[in-house]
Amino acid sequence: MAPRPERRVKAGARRRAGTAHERVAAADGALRASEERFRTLIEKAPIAIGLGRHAVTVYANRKYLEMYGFENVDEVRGRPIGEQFAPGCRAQIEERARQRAKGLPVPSEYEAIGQRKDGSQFPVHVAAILVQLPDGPCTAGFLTDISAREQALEALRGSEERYRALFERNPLPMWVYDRQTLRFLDVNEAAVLHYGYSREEFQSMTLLQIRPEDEQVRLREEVRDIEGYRFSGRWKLRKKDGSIINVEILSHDMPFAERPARVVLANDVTERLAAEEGLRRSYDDLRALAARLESVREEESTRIAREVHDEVGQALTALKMDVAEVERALAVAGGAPEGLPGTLTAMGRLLDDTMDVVHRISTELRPGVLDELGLEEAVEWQLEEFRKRTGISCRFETGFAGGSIDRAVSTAVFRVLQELLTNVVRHARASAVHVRLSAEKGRLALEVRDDGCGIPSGRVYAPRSFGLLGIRERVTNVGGNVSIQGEPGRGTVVSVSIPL
Amino acid sequence: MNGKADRPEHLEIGEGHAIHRPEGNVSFLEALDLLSQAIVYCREHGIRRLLIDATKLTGFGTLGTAERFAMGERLARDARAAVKVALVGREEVLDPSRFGMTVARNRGLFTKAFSSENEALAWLLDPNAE
Repeated sequence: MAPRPERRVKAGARRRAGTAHERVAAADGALRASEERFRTLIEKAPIAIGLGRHAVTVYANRKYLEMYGFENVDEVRGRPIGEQFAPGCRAQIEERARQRAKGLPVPSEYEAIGQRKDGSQFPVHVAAILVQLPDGPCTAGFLTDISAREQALEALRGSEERYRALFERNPLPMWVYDRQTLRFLDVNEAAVLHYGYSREEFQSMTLLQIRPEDEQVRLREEVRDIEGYRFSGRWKLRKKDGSIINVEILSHDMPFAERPARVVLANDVTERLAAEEGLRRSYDDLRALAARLESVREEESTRIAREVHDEVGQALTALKMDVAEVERALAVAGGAPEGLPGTLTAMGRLLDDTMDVVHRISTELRPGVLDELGLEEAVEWQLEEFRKRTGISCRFETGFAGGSIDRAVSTAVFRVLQELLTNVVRHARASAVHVRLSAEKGRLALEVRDDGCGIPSGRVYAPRSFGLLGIRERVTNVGGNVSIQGEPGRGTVVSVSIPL
Repeated sequence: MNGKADRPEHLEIGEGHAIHRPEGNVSFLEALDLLSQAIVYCREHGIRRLLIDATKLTGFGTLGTAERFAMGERLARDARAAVKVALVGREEVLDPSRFGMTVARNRGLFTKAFSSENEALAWLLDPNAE
């Protein structure tokens, strides 16, 4: 019976021994696997991890080496941990590591300046903890390169400061107001200086308080309706000293202080308007003076034309009749002394020529046909004279039903036509001119079209185009307007429109 | 209940202004909450001038750009341009370029940071202050 238990014992011992062996092997395997897992985890962690003891690096993972530019761990193992930081940070970091090892309270997280193997520096966030390892305690550091974050923050800082500077240092007064309450939310320095209210006073006021009463209804309507960018035109604003100024307002929506708001730029145009008003008055005065001079000149021309025609013309006619009478008397008396008949004939021709000259001068000064037969006939006559003088063919088209035209208007139109025909001869190199005169919708229209070279666009408003300037002045003086259009090689069209 | 904020601890109401002197070892976010509560209280109670003396708040280190931005943005949001705020801080905590103040002013909070309460109060009470 004995062997059985012995065998059982031996077998049991063998089983137990085998189990222990297996258990040790399994435990060993598990430990190795665990070690391997943790090693892999640490090694492949996406964050830089370093272990230090007595302020000396004992381990660094792959991310750590990559961040600092090392190729293998032996480059850092055994080196002071301070070497991975900028010189200015080293003493503090090593001191913290020593205090942490002693269990003294030190910040577990901080930011510092890291220094790579090549000496370049970068901002780094460090989280450090004291860990117990089988071979003793050590400091585990988890490091993050925060260059990108720092750059973003720097950009944010720049953006905020730029915005502030653009608003605060803008030389034009600016403010932000609450769309619902119309209260000022912010003002810039230029607004404070220009309006005399302090920043605090502004912020206790509404837009209405710097508006004269007669503009408050308009302001409420404007504020209610506007969206997005808006040029709101000209407004009157009241300064703290009570003076009223004219401003031009530009504004745009802008969320501000958690409120729907608008940012406003208010450009004071008071002085500019005064200057413009002065200039306008001066221009009006000059225009009135020019019109008056033109009127006086026209009246003078008319008077001289009449005098020349009536006085000189009649005197020449009387002389002509006298010469004829002398010729007849000499013929009755049986002949004249030798040479006298020839002299009398020459006198007669000279008188005829002089009468023609007198007639031409008189007509040029003021064509009688304009006063006697009216504008339409005068235009027709003028075109015929022009054709005879220049050889340029003329076509006259009229849709003018007649009726009385103010003398100033007919004179202006006739003189404009004369100036335009002069331009055709001087500049256009045209072979034909087409003139239309019509009256429609209470306006008198004159159109002069030629087939010449076409006026260049730059000449239309050239300051030294005195002829065109004179045309514009004449037409403006009777309340009309002029359009001048030229196309190279296709002639020029001048359209005049004057209210009747 | 009128829905208004309770009066924060350490807030004194004076003639036309209030002074808040919070204390304690707190995190940055807790500190921000304390400042914010005082501003909201003043806004809701029509107090247009507030001095915050934060020199006795400890527990957080030097503020970075992100924290300063968050502070300026939060305080301006809470003030809604209705409260003028003079902030007193320890010199080592204040940013030389006053970035937080810039952020706050950009968002409508009329504010300025000082290292002395006297200077801060003078500025706060000056209607022509810049």
